[in-house]
Amino acid sequence: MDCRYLENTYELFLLGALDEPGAARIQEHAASACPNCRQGLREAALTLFALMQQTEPVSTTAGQRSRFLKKLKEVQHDARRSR
Amino acid sequence: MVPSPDEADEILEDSFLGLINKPARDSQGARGRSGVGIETWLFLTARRQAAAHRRARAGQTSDPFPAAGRLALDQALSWLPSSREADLLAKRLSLARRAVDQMPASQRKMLDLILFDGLTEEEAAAALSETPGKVRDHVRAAFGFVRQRLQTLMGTWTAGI
Repeated sequence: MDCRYLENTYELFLLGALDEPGAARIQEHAASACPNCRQGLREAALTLFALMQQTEPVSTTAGQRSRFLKKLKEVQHDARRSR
Repeated sequence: MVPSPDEADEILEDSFLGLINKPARDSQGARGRSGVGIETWLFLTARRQAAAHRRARAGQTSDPFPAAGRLALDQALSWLPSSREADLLAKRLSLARRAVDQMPASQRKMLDLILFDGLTEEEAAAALSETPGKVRDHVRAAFGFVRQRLQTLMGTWTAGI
């Protein structure tokens, strides 16, 4: 399958920002072990990872950490109860 | 993407908790790729949730491409950068930053709207009073620009990994 036309859409696909027909085409190619699409998706994932690194890290405060740990305990408690 | 830091905190917390709740078989791809995969997966998840939150506040449809978004997140686990790729990139991060800085300003502005503001190409076109076709061309060219610069920077990044 010729998929050169998909070349610049892999990043949008991974972001969930590609329209449904475009996403379906990539899915179809990747599922059929298309080497171009698999390579394109790997490179797109690394491109997104590199772009993520352009942002400055933000430190968390003690209050944020405490709130998150409280939520985490609640989630774990609920998970145990539902077993 | 969201109006207050508290809302951003909540979305990020929910994204972390979503990873914890994810069945082991689904998250195996991310875990198998160390913290790097998890970091990328969290970015994609939090970005998507924040975009849905912003749209809901504006009274819009929460997700313009719901099926494509779910598919992409599930598929993303297979394509996340490996620790080795990320280590290689980390060693050349300042060069990678410089490569992104070389992107034409008009492309950078459109790419930021898609990547960090969570807009679709059509929404970015409306925000910039441009035609959807022009934004689509610029955004796709911007991703291509970064990908090609990174390929040069990292050598034959997939051949050697």
